[in-house]
Amino acid sequence: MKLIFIRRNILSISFSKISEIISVFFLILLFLSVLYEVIARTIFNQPTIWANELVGYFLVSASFIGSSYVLRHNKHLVIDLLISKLNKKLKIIFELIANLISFFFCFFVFIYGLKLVQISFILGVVSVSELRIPLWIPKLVIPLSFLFLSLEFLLIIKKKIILLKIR
Amino acid sequence: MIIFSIFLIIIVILTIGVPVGIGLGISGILLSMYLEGTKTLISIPQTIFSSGNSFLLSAIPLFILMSEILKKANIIQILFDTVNKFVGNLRGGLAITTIITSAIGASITGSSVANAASMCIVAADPMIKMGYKRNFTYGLIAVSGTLGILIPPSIPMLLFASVTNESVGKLFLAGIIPGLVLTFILCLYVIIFPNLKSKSKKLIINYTFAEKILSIKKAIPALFLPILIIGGIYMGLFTPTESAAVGVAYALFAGFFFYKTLKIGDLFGIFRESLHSTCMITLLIAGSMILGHAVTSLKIGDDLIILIQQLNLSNLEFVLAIMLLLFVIGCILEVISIIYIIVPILYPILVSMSIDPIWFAILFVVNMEIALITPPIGMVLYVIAGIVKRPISEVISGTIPFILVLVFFIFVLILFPQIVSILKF
Repeated sequence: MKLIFIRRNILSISFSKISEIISVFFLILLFLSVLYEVIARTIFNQPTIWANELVGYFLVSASFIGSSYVLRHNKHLVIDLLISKLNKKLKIIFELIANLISFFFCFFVFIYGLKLVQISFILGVVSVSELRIPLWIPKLVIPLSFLFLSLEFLLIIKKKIILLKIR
Repeated sequence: MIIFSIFLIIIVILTIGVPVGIGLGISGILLSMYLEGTKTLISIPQTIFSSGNSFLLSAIPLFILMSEILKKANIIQILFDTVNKFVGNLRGGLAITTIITSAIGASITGSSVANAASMCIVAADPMIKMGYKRNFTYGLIAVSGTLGILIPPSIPMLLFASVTNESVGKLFLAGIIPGLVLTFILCLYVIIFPNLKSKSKKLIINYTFAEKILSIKKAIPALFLPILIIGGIYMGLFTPTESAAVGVAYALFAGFFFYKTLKIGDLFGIFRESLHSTCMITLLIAGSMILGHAVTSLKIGDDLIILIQQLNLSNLEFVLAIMLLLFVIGCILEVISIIYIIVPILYPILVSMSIDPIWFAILFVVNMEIALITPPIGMVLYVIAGIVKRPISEVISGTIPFILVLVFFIFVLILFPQIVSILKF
């Protein structure tokens, strides 16, 4: 029993690590692309056709995939003015409710995000630029990252339930 | 009635501790389901996708990255010491140093929260040791930290421009003079009311001219950064996003080769730190946009225009009324959500009343500075309370006089719109 618990912890840690690394990767890519665009345009007078479009996708990828990692480190904006004043048990109950609500939202976006990707795929929607990228590829980021977020919220919920049982 | 219940829902969801971005998104979904049934739900992930899919908004992580690099290179401390050598001996010297350093810090960061946080780390202890009252110290750091969004670069201005299709360059440029004027007003305030404890000893250190020159030399690479960013945008060399990337490259260069305080090993950590703010902001944008879309379909704007015509409001009365409204909303909502939810309603009215949108944007930003330091939702208050590990009430009591200063400043800007329009493309 204990072993399973530890193994699950390792799983959850590595999963947050993955989202962190992917996200940092896209952030670096974003920076380098914009920098490349400036240099190509101002110095060599040869603007790229891809930077403008891809940078937007990089921003979506970096920020939403990283969201679950940021959630793990508790760095999303939360207003805890009221909650921090409650007694411990009530606090845990409130946090449990808040995390459940958040989980449902993220899971909802995950499901409808899959639908969005499916629709874009079936209709063969491509970007309006010269690149004509099939839009289901960048849109895949939405269901993926909200799946990550849902899982992260589930982990928090599990932790809160254990805390509640202990008390 | 609908507006009231939506507000109630937002407040309930947010106070039980749902992350703000998600809470706003949920309120948006509920509202659009109430208005148009379940068929609009499929557009929610699309809204989230397009909220981040923007070349302009890519400037946000880059500006964050830039200030994280400079923070790691310990630039604020260097600036603080330099400024202190020049104004430290004046009446209220250390307080003036704090204000001026914040203003310079504001020109190398786009966020008030980041600016106030790095100022707090550098200035809080020296000021208290010098004998300034605690609440005054925290209040001063809070208010001068909020200069971050008035003096360019500024993330809220970027978002304002993105919502209204105004030019980022024009907004950035328009923020410079008001920023300097506000800096001056704050300095005047602390000269008149230094708030030193009566028993504090006055410490006068006279620096030689050579020492001053030496410290200026150390500060110059940091001081050049805002010139590079704003000058580059102004001269049409680069777009705001590009200027942010150039700023990052420059900051890396200065940190590695000039200050030599940056190490290769720091880089991953810097990227990770910037990820925190970036993801927090984009989730907020996504949620605010979902709610914003739903609110737009309520057509509150049309009702407002009719109301204005019925009341026969002049432009001045209208602007004053909006400032009051924003002040109240600023207590409950945070800046980014206000931009995405309220500004789309207001903007068409501004245009129809032929109010200069750039001037209004500056008034708006100053109002948001107040929003950042008014409870219950004033992000700068929390950041400072968190860093100094003191009760938040102490910080709040310190900011009250400065909120009055900012309100006064809004009136100054309304009476003298030239302050905004003096620098123009």
